[in-house]
Amino acid sequence: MTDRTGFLTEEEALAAVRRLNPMRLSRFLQAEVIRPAQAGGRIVYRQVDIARMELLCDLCDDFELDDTALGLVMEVIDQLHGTRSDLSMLMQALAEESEEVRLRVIGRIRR
Amino acid sequence: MSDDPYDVLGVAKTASAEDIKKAYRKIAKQSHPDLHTGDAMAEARFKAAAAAYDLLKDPETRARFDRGEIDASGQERPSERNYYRDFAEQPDNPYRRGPRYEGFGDEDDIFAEFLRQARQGGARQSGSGQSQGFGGQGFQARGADAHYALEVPFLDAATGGALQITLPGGDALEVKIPVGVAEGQTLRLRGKGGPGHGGGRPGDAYVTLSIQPHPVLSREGDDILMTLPIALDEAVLGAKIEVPTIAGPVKVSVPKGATTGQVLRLRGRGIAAPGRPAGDQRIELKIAMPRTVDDDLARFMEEWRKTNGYDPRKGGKA
Repeated sequence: MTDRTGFLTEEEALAAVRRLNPMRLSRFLQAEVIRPAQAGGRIVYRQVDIARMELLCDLCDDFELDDTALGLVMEVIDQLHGTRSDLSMLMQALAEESEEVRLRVIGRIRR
Repeated sequence: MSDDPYDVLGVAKTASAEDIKKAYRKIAKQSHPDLHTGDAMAEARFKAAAAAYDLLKDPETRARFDRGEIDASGQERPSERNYYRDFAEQPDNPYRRGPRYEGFGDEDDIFAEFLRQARQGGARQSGSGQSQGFGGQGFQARGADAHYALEVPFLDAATGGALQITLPGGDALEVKIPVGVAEGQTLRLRGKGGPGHGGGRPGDAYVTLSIQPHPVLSREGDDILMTLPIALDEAVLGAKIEVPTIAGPVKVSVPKGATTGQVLRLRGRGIAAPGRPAGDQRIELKIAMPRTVDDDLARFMEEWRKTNGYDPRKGGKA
């Protein structure tokens, strides 16, 4: 991951994501798969939005998804990432527990 | 791995455009890093396939490659990109919106539900009761989440603080900045989003932070870095110099004979976030010559060199 920082204007976002054009961006906004942030009355894009636009461009170009499918796929991807994040927090918490607790939990899972 | 684009995609040199597209799609589906977050090798496979496809999808560049006019690296997708998965699994990802755990009884957080179950002695079966479905109640909907971007002054990010966001309606939203927030971090303010419908709960506000640079100080994790220019006489004789820290100015002792690149460390003067050991402030010294070398200095150096000259490059050469 590169360490780019800061917020981008619409113009900067269009420059940062090679395959993005104004029509495609407005499509993403309409489908609500990109939800930019407000900063003092301006609309700005965050680094997470930029990374998400790259993925959306892949989904459009490589898989020819339409707007409905795009929204559906992103919903599922976000759920999956959320679940993985919770799971990794749980694993981390377990790793900090004693051997005895961990073995007991593993025992319950395998029951 | 071969870098021949036909090998990468696993197609024959005579493959049709349709076959090439099909082969690429298959690899992209199996290897896109954002769709296969647990697979460390996915990115390399996806990148190779994307580069190969970029080359072969355009009949003209494909023909030029076939004639040997351009090589396989000629058409790689430029610039490093950030994959969504690098953000998506962060607990603060603003796109990770609820309701997420209705099946577990609590739509916010699986861990909150876990604690609740523990309090009740773990007797409850998951999924039972409490669901607010269509059972006689009117339509309820949670409010929409709101997304804000906020520039945080360097010192507020380092020591914590409170900032305000002015909302479109003119109201202000107070945002508490925790000590030592990181660039790009997102704060979730529960219930500060749009209002709910039919008695539903309001949405959340997600506030993504970007840290403004400081003219002198910078950050590396919880350490604060700065470069301190010192005069020639201060380097030779040593000095006490006032420097800025995130908690206000502090006097530091520059030792006698200090040199460029030397680092002074102020222990514990970095960011002291709860739950993490406090960082240090690291001050890199840089000797700055006087603007003009006057006759006095030149004459002194002429004399000094005769008996005390030294070679700072000694031992540094191969």
